[in-house]
Amino acid sequence: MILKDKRVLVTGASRGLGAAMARVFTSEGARVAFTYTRDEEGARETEKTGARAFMCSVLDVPATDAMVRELESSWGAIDILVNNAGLSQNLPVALMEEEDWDRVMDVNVKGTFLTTRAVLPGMVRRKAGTILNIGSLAGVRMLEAPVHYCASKAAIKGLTEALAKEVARHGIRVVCLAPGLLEDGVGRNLPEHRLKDYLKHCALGRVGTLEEVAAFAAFLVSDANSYMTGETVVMDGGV
Amino acid sequence: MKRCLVFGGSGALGRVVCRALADEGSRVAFTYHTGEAGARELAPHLKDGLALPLDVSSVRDIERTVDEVACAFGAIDAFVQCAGVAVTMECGGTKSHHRIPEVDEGGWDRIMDVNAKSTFFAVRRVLEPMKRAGGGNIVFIGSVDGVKPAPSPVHYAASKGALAGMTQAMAKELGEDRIRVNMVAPGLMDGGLSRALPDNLRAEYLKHCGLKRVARVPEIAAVVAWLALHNTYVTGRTLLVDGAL
Repeated sequence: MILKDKRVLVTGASRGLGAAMARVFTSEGARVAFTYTRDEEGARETEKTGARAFMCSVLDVPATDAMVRELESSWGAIDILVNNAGLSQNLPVALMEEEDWDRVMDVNVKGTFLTTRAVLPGMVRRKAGTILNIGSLAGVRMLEAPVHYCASKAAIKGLTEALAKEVARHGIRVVCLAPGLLEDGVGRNLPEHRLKDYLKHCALGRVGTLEEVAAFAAFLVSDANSYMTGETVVMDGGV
Repeated sequence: MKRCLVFGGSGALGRVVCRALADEGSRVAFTYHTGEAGARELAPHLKDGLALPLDVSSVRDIERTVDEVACAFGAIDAFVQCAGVAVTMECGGTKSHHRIPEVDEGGWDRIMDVNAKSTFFAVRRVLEPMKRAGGGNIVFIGSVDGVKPAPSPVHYAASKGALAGMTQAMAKELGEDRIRVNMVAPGLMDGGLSRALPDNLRAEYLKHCGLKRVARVPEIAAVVAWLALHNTYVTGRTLLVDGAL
Protein backbone atom coordinates (compact mmCIF):
# COMPACT_ATOMS: atom_id res chain seq x y z
CA MET A 1 0.00 0.00 0.00
CA ILE A 2 2.46 2.65 -1.17
CA LEU A 3 -0.22 5.36 -1.37
CA LYS A 4 -1.96 4.67 1.92
CA ASP A 5 -4.27 7.57 2.90
CA LYS A 6 -3.04 9.77 0.06
CA ARG A 7 -5.61 12.10 -1.44
CA VAL A 8 -5.24 12.11 -5.21
CA LEU A 9 -6.84 14.08 -8.02
CA VAL A 10 -6.49 12.59 -11.53
CA THR A 11 -7.70 14.56 -14.54
CA GLY A 12 -9.29 12.66 -17.42
CA ALA A 13 -9.93 9.28 -15.85
CA SER A 14 -13.10 8.01 -17.52
CA ARG A 15 -10.98 5.61 -19.57
CA GLY A 16 -7.48 4.66 -20.67
CA LEU A 17 -4.47 5.43 -18.52
CA GLY A 18 -6.41 7.79 -16.23
CA ALA A 19 -8.92 5.06 -15.35
CA ALA A 20 -6.09 2.57 -14.80
CA MET A 21 -4.34 5.01 -12.44
CA ALA A 22 -7.58 5.57 -10.49
CA ARG A 23 -7.87 1.80 -10.12
CA VAL A 24 -4.24 1.13 -9.17
CA PHE A 25 -3.95 4.15 -6.84
CA THR A 26 -7.09 3.04 -5.00
CA SER A 27 -5.73 -0.46 -4.59
CA GLU A 28 -2.54 1.11 -3.20
CA GLY A 29 -4.58 2.76 -0.45
CA ALA A 30 -5.29 6.19 -1.94
CA ARG A 31 -8.51 8.18 -1.98
CA VAL A 32 -9.07 9.23 -5.58
CA ALA A 33 -11.12 11.91 -7.31
CA PHE A 34 -11.13 12.32 -11.06
CA THR A 35 -12.46 14.52 -13.81
CA TYR A 36 -14.13 13.62 -17.07
CA THR A 37 -15.87 15.61 -19.77
CA ARG A 38 -18.15 13.49 -21.94
CA ASP A 39 -17.79 9.78 -21.29
CA GLU A 40 -20.52 9.19 -18.68
CA GLU A 41 -20.35 5.43 -19.04
CA GLY A 42 -16.58 5.37 -18.51
CA ALA A 43 -16.88 7.71 -15.53
CA ARG A 44 -19.44 5.37 -13.89
CA GLU A 45 -17.02 2.50 -14.47
CA THR A 46 -14.14 4.38 -12.81
CA GLU A 47 -16.45 5.33 -9.93
CA LYS A 48 -16.82 1.62 -9.15
CA THR A 49 -13.26 1.70 -7.77
CA GLY A 50 -14.57 4.06 -5.09
CA ALA A 51 -13.24 7.16 -6.84
CA ARG A 52 -15.24 10.40 -6.88
CA ALA A 53 -16.24 11.74 -10.29
CA PHE A 54 -16.36 15.40 -11.29
CA MET A 55 -17.69 16.35 -14.70
CA CYS A 56 -15.27 19.16 -15.31
CA SER A 57 -13.14 20.28 -18.22
CA VAL A 58 -9.54 21.16 -17.41
CA LEU A 59 -10.16 24.39 -19.33
CA ASP A 60 -13.09 25.42 -17.14
CA VAL A 61 -11.42 27.57 -14.49
CA PRO A 62 -14.45 28.26 -12.24
CA ALA A 63 -15.48 24.58 -12.24
CA THR A 64 -11.91 23.46 -11.53
CA ASP A 65 -11.57 25.95 -8.66
CA ALA A 66 -14.90 24.80 -7.22
CA MET A 67 -13.85 21.15 -7.43
CA VAL A 68 -10.53 21.84 -5.71
CA ARG A 69 -12.32 23.81 -2.94
CA GLU A 70 -14.81 20.97 -2.51
CA LEU A 71 -12.07 18.32 -2.29
CA GLU A 72 -9.97 20.38 0.10
CA SER A 73 -12.92 20.92 2.39
CA SER A 74 -14.09 17.30 2.40
CA TRP A 75 -10.64 15.65 2.35
CA GLY A 76 -8.67 18.34 4.15
CA ALA A 77 -6.13 18.55 1.33
CA ILE A 78 -5.00 17.21 -2.04
CA ASP A 79 -1.65 15.43 -1.67
CA ILE A 80 -1.14 14.37 -5.26
CA LEU A 81 -2.25 15.84 -8.58
CA VAL A 82 -1.98 13.82 -11.78
CA ASN A 83 -2.34 15.91 -14.92
CA ASN A 84 -3.43 13.17 -17.27
CA ALA A 85 -6.23 14.67 -19.39
CA GLY A 86 -5.03 14.89 -22.94
CA LEU A 87 -5.97 14.25 -26.51
CA SER A 88 -4.50 13.76 -29.94
CA GLN A 89 -5.63 13.61 -33.49
CA ASN A 90 -3.84 12.00 -36.42
CA LEU A 91 -3.38 14.80 -38.91
CA PRO A 92 -0.60 15.89 -41.25
CA VAL A 93 0.41 19.55 -41.00
CA ALA A 94 -1.22 20.37 -44.34
CA LEU A 95 -4.64 19.39 -42.99
CA MET A 96 -4.15 20.83 -39.50
CA GLU A 97 -6.46 23.78 -38.95
CA GLU A 98 -5.84 26.45 -36.37
CA GLU A 99 -8.71 25.04 -34.28
CA ASP A 100 -7.04 21.60 -34.29
CA TRP A 101 -3.78 23.09 -33.04
CA ASP A 102 -5.57 25.12 -30.36
CA ARG A 103 -7.67 22.22 -29.11
CA VAL A 104 -4.67 19.91 -28.57
CA MET A 105 -2.47 22.60 -27.06
CA ASP A 106 -5.32 23.88 -24.87
CA VAL A 107 -6.30 20.56 -23.32
CA ASN A 108 -2.80 19.10 -23.05
CA VAL A 109 -0.76 22.13 -22.01
CA LYS A 110 -3.06 24.92 -20.83
CA GLY A 111 -5.22 22.38 -18.98
CA THR A 112 -2.15 21.12 -17.12
CA PHE A 113 -1.23 24.69 -16.23
CA LEU A 114 -4.73 25.65 -15.08
CA THR A 115 -5.31 22.55 -12.94
CA THR A 116 -1.86 22.89 -11.40
CA ARG A 117 -2.51 26.54 -10.63
CA ALA A 118 -5.75 25.64 -8.88
CA VAL A 119 -4.21 22.90 -6.71
CA LEU A 120 -0.86 24.55 -5.95
CA PRO A 121 -1.88 27.06 -3.24
CA GLY A 122 -3.03 24.26 -0.92
CA MET A 123 0.22 22.35 -1.46
CA VAL A 124 2.30 25.49 -0.85
CA ARG A 125 0.38 26.15 2.39
CA ARG A 126 1.10 22.64 3.66
CA LYS A 127 4.63 22.65 2.23
CA ALA A 128 4.02 19.22 0.71
CA GLY A 129 2.64 17.74 -2.46
CA THR A 130 3.44 15.83 -5.60
CA ILE A 131 2.45 16.61 -9.16
CA LEU A 132 2.71 14.03 -11.91
CA ASN A 133 2.36 15.19 -15.49
CA ILE A 134 1.68 12.65 -18.20
CA GLY A 135 3.95 13.38 -21.12
CA SER A 136 4.80 11.15 -24.04
CA LEU A 137 7.71 9.58 -25.84
CA ALA A 138 6.53 11.82 -28.69
CA GLY A 139 7.57 14.84 -26.64
CA VAL A 140 11.15 13.76 -26.05
CA ARG A 141 12.21 11.90 -29.14
CA MET A 142 11.95 12.32 -32.90
CA LEU A 143 8.96 10.29 -34.05
CA GLU A 144 6.47 10.31 -36.87
CA ALA A 145 3.54 11.73 -34.95
CA PRO A 146 1.17 14.71 -35.22
CA VAL A 147 3.13 17.94 -34.73
CA HIS A 148 0.60 19.55 -32.39
CA TYR A 149 0.62 16.50 -30.13
CA CYS A 150 4.45 16.31 -30.07
CA ALA A 151 4.68 20.04 -29.40
CA SER A 152 2.18 19.78 -26.55
CA LYS A 153 4.01 16.89 -24.89
CA ALA A 154 7.39 18.62 -25.28
CA ALA A 155 5.76 21.62 -23.60
CA ILE A 156 4.73 19.38 -20.67
CA LYS A 157 8.36 18.36 -20.23
CA GLY A 158 9.45 22.01 -20.14
CA LEU A 159 6.61 22.88 -17.79
CA THR A 160 7.65 20.02 -15.49
CA GLU A 161 11.23 21.26 -15.27
CA ALA A 162 10.42 24.92 -14.65
CA LEU A 163 7.65 24.11 -12.17
CA ALA A 164 9.92 21.68 -10.28
CA LYS A 165 12.51 24.42 -9.86
CA GLU A 166 9.89 26.96 -8.80
CA VAL A 167 8.06 24.90 -6.18
CA ALA A 168 10.90 22.75 -4.79
CA ARG A 169 11.48 25.25 -1.98
CA HIS A 170 7.93 24.54 -0.82
CA GLY A 171 8.64 20.82 -0.59
CA ILE A 172 6.61 20.03 -3.70
CA ARG A 173 7.87 17.54 -6.28
CA VAL A 174 6.99 17.58 -9.97
CA VAL A 175 7.68 14.60 -12.22
CA CYS A 176 6.74 13.79 -15.81
CA LEU A 177 5.98 10.23 -16.90
CA ALA A 178 6.37 9.82 -20.66
CA PRO A 179 4.97 6.51 -21.94
CA GLY A 180 5.53 5.10 -25.37
CA LEU A 181 2.68 3.46 -27.23
CA LEU A 182 0.05 1.89 -24.96
CA GLU A 183 -2.62 -0.71 -25.54
CA ASP A 184 -5.27 1.99 -25.19
CA GLY A 185 -5.47 5.77 -25.18
CA VAL A 186 -4.27 8.27 -27.78
CA GLY A 187 -2.36 5.54 -29.64
CA ARG A 188 -5.58 3.58 -30.22
CA ASN A 189 -6.22 4.93 -33.70
CA LEU A 190 -2.65 4.71 -34.88
CA PRO A 191 -2.22 3.79 -38.57
CA GLU A 192 -1.09 0.18 -39.00
CA HIS A 193 2.32 1.07 -40.49
CA ARG A 194 3.19 3.24 -37.49
CA LEU A 195 2.26 0.53 -35.00
CA LYS A 196 4.42 -1.94 -36.93
CA ASP A 197 7.28 0.53 -37.03
CA TYR A 198 7.01 1.07 -33.26
CA LEU A 199 7.08 -2.65 -32.51
CA LYS A 200 10.05 -3.10 -34.81
CA HIS A 201 12.08 -0.48 -32.94
CA CYS A 202 10.85 -1.34 -29.45
CA ALA A 203 13.41 -3.56 -27.69
CA LEU A 204 10.71 -5.39 -25.74
CA GLY A 205 8.68 -5.85 -28.94
CA ARG A 206 5.28 -4.94 -27.51
CA VAL A 207 3.16 -1.93 -26.57
CA GLY A 208 2.84 -1.03 -22.90
CA THR A 209 -0.11 -2.06 -20.78
CA LEU A 210 -2.13 0.52 -18.87
CA GLU A 211 -1.65 -1.50 -15.72
CA GLU A 212 2.16 -1.39 -15.79
CA VAL A 213 2.28 2.33 -16.53
CA ALA A 214 -0.21 3.00 -13.72
CA ALA A 215 1.89 0.89 -11.33
CA PHE A 216 4.98 2.94 -12.19
CA ALA A 217 2.98 6.15 -11.77
CA ALA A 218 1.97 4.99 -8.28
CA PHE A 219 5.62 4.53 -7.35
CA LEU A 220 6.64 7.88 -8.85
CA VAL A 221 4.11 9.81 -6.73
CA SER A 222 4.73 7.78 -3.58
CA ASP A 223 6.66 9.03 -0.55
CA ALA A 224 9.38 6.46 -1.27
CA ASN A 225 10.38 8.45 -4.36
CA SER A 226 10.99 11.68 -2.44
CA TYR A 227 14.16 12.98 -4.15
CA MET A 228 13.11 12.72 -7.81
CA THR A 229 11.83 16.02 -9.14
CA GLY A 230 12.03 17.85 -12.45
CA GLU A 231 12.68 14.55 -14.17
CA THR A 232 10.92 13.15 -17.23
CA VAL A 233 10.92 9.38 -17.05
CA VAL A 234 10.34 7.55 -20.32
CA MET A 235 8.57 4.19 -20.22
CA ASP A 236 8.60 2.84 -23.76
CA GLY A 237 10.03 -0.66 -23.80
CA GLY A 238 13.28 0.64 -25.27
CA VAL A 239 12.35 2.38 -28.53
CA MET B 1 10.47 -14.75 -4.75
CA LYS B 2 12.98 -12.71 -6.74
CA ARG B 3 16.64 -13.75 -6.74
CA CYS B 4 18.88 -10.70 -6.71
CA LEU B 5 22.61 -10.16 -7.09
CA VAL B 6 24.04 -6.85 -5.86
CA PHE B 7 27.64 -5.84 -6.58
CA GLY B 8 29.08 -3.49 -3.97
CA GLY B 9 26.51 -4.46 -1.35
CA SER B 10 28.53 -3.33 1.65
CA GLY B 11 28.75 0.30 0.49
CA ALA B 12 26.50 3.08 1.74
CA LEU B 13 23.98 2.74 -1.08
CA GLY B 14 24.47 -0.98 -1.74
CA ARG B 15 23.65 -1.85 1.85
CA VAL B 16 20.33 -0.01 1.77
CA VAL B 17 19.49 -1.46 -1.65
CA CYS B 18 20.11 -4.99 -0.31
CA ARG B 19 17.87 -4.33 2.67
CA ALA B 20 15.13 -2.84 0.46
CA LEU B 21 15.20 -5.89 -1.82
CA ALA B 22 15.14 -8.30 1.11
CA ASP B 23 12.31 -6.36 2.79
CA GLU B 24 10.17 -7.12 -0.24
CA GLY B 25 10.83 -10.81 0.11
CA SER B 26 13.73 -11.25 -2.28
CA ARG B 27 16.68 -13.53 -1.81
CA VAL B 28 19.80 -11.39 -2.02
CA ALA B 29 23.43 -12.22 -2.78
CA PHE B 30 25.86 -9.34 -2.49
CA THR B 31 29.56 -8.78 -3.01
CA TYR B 32 31.90 -6.65 -0.94
CA HIS B 33 35.51 -5.68 -1.29
CA THR B 34 37.01 -3.48 1.42
CA GLY B 35 33.82 -3.22 3.49
CA GLU B 36 34.04 -6.50 5.36
CA ALA B 37 32.64 -5.03 8.56
CA GLY B 38 29.66 -3.60 6.68
CA ALA B 39 29.12 -6.95 5.00
CA ARG B 40 29.10 -8.79 8.33
CA GLU B 41 26.57 -6.32 9.69
CA LEU B 42 24.33 -6.65 6.64
CA ALA B 43 24.34 -10.42 6.17
CA PRO B 44 22.02 -11.36 9.11
CA HIS B 45 19.32 -9.05 7.69
CA LEU B 46 19.10 -11.00 4.46
CA LYS B 47 17.11 -14.18 4.69
CA ASP B 48 18.94 -17.00 2.90
CA GLY B 49 21.35 -14.39 1.60
CA LEU B 50 24.92 -14.73 0.41
CA ALA B 51 27.89 -12.47 1.14
CA LEU B 52 30.81 -12.89 -1.24
CA PRO B 53 34.17 -11.10 -1.28
CA LEU B 54 34.99 -9.73 -4.71
CA ASP B 55 37.48 -7.33 -6.22
CA VAL B 56 35.71 -6.28 -9.42
CA SER B 57 38.96 -5.36 -11.12
CA SER B 58 39.41 -9.06 -11.92
CA VAL B 59 37.16 -10.32 -14.72
CA ARG B 60 37.90 -13.90 -13.73
CA ASP B 61 36.77 -13.27 -10.17
CA ILE B 62 33.62 -11.54 -11.42
CA GLU B 63 32.72 -14.56 -13.50
CA ARG B 64 33.45 -16.99 -10.70
CA THR B 65 31.27 -14.99 -8.30
CA VAL B 66 28.34 -14.71 -10.70
CA ASP B 67 28.55 -18.44 -11.35
CA GLU B 68 28.56 -19.16 -7.64
CA VAL B 69 25.40 -17.11 -7.10
CA ALA B 70 23.70 -18.58 -10.16
CA CYS B 71 24.49 -22.04 -8.87
CA ALA B 72 23.20 -21.31 -5.36
CA PHE B 73 20.02 -19.52 -6.51
CA GLY B 74 19.33 -21.54 -9.67
CA ALA B 75 18.72 -18.34 -11.65
CA ILE B 76 19.01 -14.56 -11.27
CA ASP B 77 16.01 -12.23 -11.62
CA ALA B 78 17.76 -8.95 -10.89
CA PHE B 79 21.31 -7.64 -11.01
CA VAL B 80 22.23 -4.33 -9.39
CA GLN B 81 25.69 -2.83 -9.89
CA CYS B 82 26.55 -0.56 -6.95
CA ALA B 83 30.32 -1.15 -6.95
CA GLY B 84 32.14 1.99 -7.94
CA VAL B 85 35.00 4.32 -7.06
CA ALA B 86 35.58 8.04 -7.18
CA VAL B 87 38.78 9.88 -6.46
CA THR B 88 39.48 12.80 -4.17
CA MET B 89 42.84 14.16 -3.10
CA GLU B 90 43.78 15.58 0.26
CA CYS B 91 45.74 18.75 -0.38
CA GLY B 92 46.84 20.90 2.55
CA GLY B 93 43.94 19.68 4.69
CA THR B 94 41.26 20.45 2.08
CA LYS B 95 39.73 18.00 -0.35
CA SER B 96 39.83 18.55 -4.07
CA HIS B 97 39.09 16.39 -7.04
CA HIS B 98 41.55 15.47 -9.76
CA ARG B 99 41.91 17.96 -12.56
CA ILE B 100 42.94 16.78 -16.01
CA PRO B 101 46.74 17.13 -15.56
CA GLU B 102 46.53 15.05 -12.38
CA VAL B 103 44.85 12.07 -13.99
CA ASP B 104 47.56 9.63 -15.02
CA GLU B 105 47.11 6.44 -17.02
CA GLY B 106 46.92 4.25 -13.93
CA GLY B 107 44.22 6.44 -12.41
CA TRP B 108 42.24 6.52 -15.61
CA ASP B 109 42.42 2.74 -16.00
CA ARG B 110 41.42 2.06 -12.43
CA ILE B 111 38.27 4.19 -12.57
CA MET B 112 37.25 2.85 -15.96
CA ASP B 113 37.94 -0.74 -14.90
CA VAL B 114 35.97 -0.64 -11.67
CA ASN B 115 33.07 1.51 -12.85
CA ALA B 116 32.62 0.51 -16.49
CA LYS B 117 34.56 -2.60 -17.52
CA SER B 118 33.49 -4.65 -14.49
CA THR B 119 29.88 -3.81 -15.24
CA PHE B 120 30.11 -5.12 -18.78
CA PHE B 121 31.74 -8.38 -17.76
CA ALA B 122 29.31 -8.91 -14.92
CA VAL B 123 26.32 -8.45 -17.22
CA ARG B 124 27.91 -10.74 -19.79
CA ARG B 125 28.01 -13.49 -17.19
CA VAL B 126 24.60 -12.72 -15.65
CA LEU B 127 22.80 -13.17 -18.97
CA GLU B 128 22.50 -16.95 -18.89
CA PRO B 129 21.11 -17.22 -15.33
CA MET B 130 18.80 -14.30 -16.10
CA LYS B 131 17.50 -15.94 -19.25
CA ARG B 132 16.85 -19.04 -17.16
CA ALA B 133 14.65 -16.86 -14.95
CA GLY B 134 12.64 -15.89 -18.05
CA GLY B 135 14.06 -12.36 -18.11
CA GLY B 136 14.75 -9.79 -15.46
CA ASN B 137 16.01 -6.36 -14.51
CA ILE B 138 19.53 -4.96 -14.59
CA VAL B 139 20.13 -1.68 -12.76
CA PHE B 140 23.31 0.40 -12.82
CA ILE B 141 24.20 3.23 -10.51
CA GLY B 142 25.33 6.20 -12.53
CA SER B 143 25.85 9.73 -11.43
CA VAL B 144 24.52 13.13 -12.28
CA ASP B 145 28.15 13.80 -13.33
CA GLY B 146 27.73 11.46 -16.28
CA VAL B 147 24.51 13.11 -17.42
CA LYS B 148 24.53 16.84 -16.73
CA PRO B 149 27.52 19.15 -17.03
CA ALA B 150 28.93 19.35 -13.49
CA PRO B 151 32.45 19.96 -12.23
CA SER B 152 33.80 16.47 -11.58
CA PRO B 153 36.89 14.38 -12.33
CA VAL B 154 36.81 13.65 -16.06
CA HIS B 155 37.61 9.96 -15.73
CA TYR B 156 34.81 9.52 -13.18
CA ALA B 157 32.31 11.36 -15.39
CA ALA B 158 33.50 9.38 -18.42
CA SER B 159 33.05 6.06 -16.58
CA LYS B 160 29.49 6.98 -15.61
CA GLY B 161 28.80 8.24 -19.12
CA ALA B 162 30.05 4.88 -20.39
CA LEU B 163 27.43 3.18 -18.22
CA ALA B 164 24.72 5.37 -19.76
CA GLY B 165 25.82 4.24 -23.22
CA MET B 166 25.90 0.62 -22.13
CA THR B 167 22.43 0.99 -20.64
CA GLN B 168 21.01 1.97 -24.01
CA ALA B 169 22.86 -0.57 -26.14
CA MET B 170 22.28 -3.44 -23.72
CA ALA B 171 18.56 -2.61 -23.50
CA LYS B 172 18.30 -2.88 -27.28
CA GLU B 173 20.23 -6.14 -27.47
CA LEU B 174 18.59 -7.85 -24.51
CA GLY B 175 14.97 -6.78 -25.03
CA GLU B 176 14.15 -9.96 -26.91
CA ASP B 177 15.22 -11.94 -23.84
CA ARG B 178 12.88 -9.82 -21.71
CA ILE B 179 15.83 -8.34 -19.90
CA ARG B 180 15.45 -4.66 -19.06
CA VAL B 181 18.48 -2.45 -18.41
CA ASN B 182 18.29 0.91 -16.66
CA MET B 183 20.44 3.28 -14.71
CA VAL B 184 19.71 5.42 -11.69
CA ALA B 185 21.79 8.59 -11.65
CA PRO B 186 21.69 10.11 -8.18
CA GLY B 187 22.70 13.60 -7.22
CA LEU B 188 24.66 14.04 -4.01
CA MET B 189 23.82 11.66 -1.17
CA ASP B 190 24.35 11.84 2.57
CA GLY B 191 26.54 8.74 2.34
CA GLY B 192 28.90 6.88 0.04
CA LEU B 193 31.10 8.47 -2.61
CA SER B 194 29.31 11.80 -2.15
CA ARG B 195 31.08 12.32 1.16
CA ALA B 196 34.38 12.58 -0.71
CA LEU B 197 33.21 15.72 -2.50
CA PRO B 198 35.21 18.89 -1.85
CA ASP B 199 33.33 21.45 0.27
CA ASN B 200 33.15 24.11 -2.44
CA LEU B 201 31.45 21.69 -4.83
CA ARG B 202 29.01 20.59 -2.14
CA ALA B 203 28.05 24.24 -1.57
CA GLU B 204 27.66 24.71 -5.31
CA TYR B 205 25.39 21.65 -5.49
CA LEU B 206 23.15 22.88 -2.71
CA LYS B 207 22.90 26.29 -4.33
CA HIS B 208 21.57 24.82 -7.58
CA CYS B 209 19.55 21.91 -6.20
CA GLY B 210 15.84 22.76 -6.14
CA LEU B 211 15.17 20.81 -2.93
CA LYS B 212 18.20 22.52 -1.28
CA ARG B 213 19.42 19.35 0.36
CA VAL B 214 21.39 16.24 -0.53
CA ALA B 215 19.56 12.94 -1.00
CA ARG B 216 19.08 10.51 1.84
CA VAL B 217 20.43 7.13 0.76
CA PRO B 218 17.05 5.33 1.12
CA GLU B 219 15.48 7.81 -1.33
CA ILE B 220 17.86 6.60 -4.03
CA ALA B 221 17.66 2.95 -2.96
CA ALA B 222 13.87 3.03 -3.32
CA VAL B 223 14.12 3.87 -7.03
CA VAL B 224 16.78 1.20 -7.55
CA ALA B 225 14.69 -1.42 -5.75
CA TRP B 226 11.55 -0.55 -7.71
CA LEU B 227 13.38 -0.94 -11.01
CA ALA B 228 14.98 -4.21 -9.88
CA LEU B 229 11.79 -5.86 -8.61
CA HIS B 230 8.73 -4.32 -10.25
CA ASN B 231 9.75 -2.80 -13.56
CA THR B 232 8.31 -4.43 -16.68
CA TYR B 233 8.39 -1.76 -19.42
CA VAL B 234 11.10 0.82 -18.66
CA THR B 235 14.34 -0.04 -20.45
CA GLY B 236 17.39 1.73 -21.84
CA ARG B 237 16.81 4.70 -19.58
CA THR B 238 18.78 6.78 -17.12
CA LEU B 239 16.58 8.01 -14.28
CA LEU B 240 17.96 11.19 -12.74
CA VAL B 241 17.21 11.49 -9.05
CA ASP B 242 18.79 14.81 -8.17
CA GLY B 243 16.23 17.00 -6.41
CA ALA B 244 15.89 19.25 -9.48
CA LEU B 245 19.53 20.20 -9.99
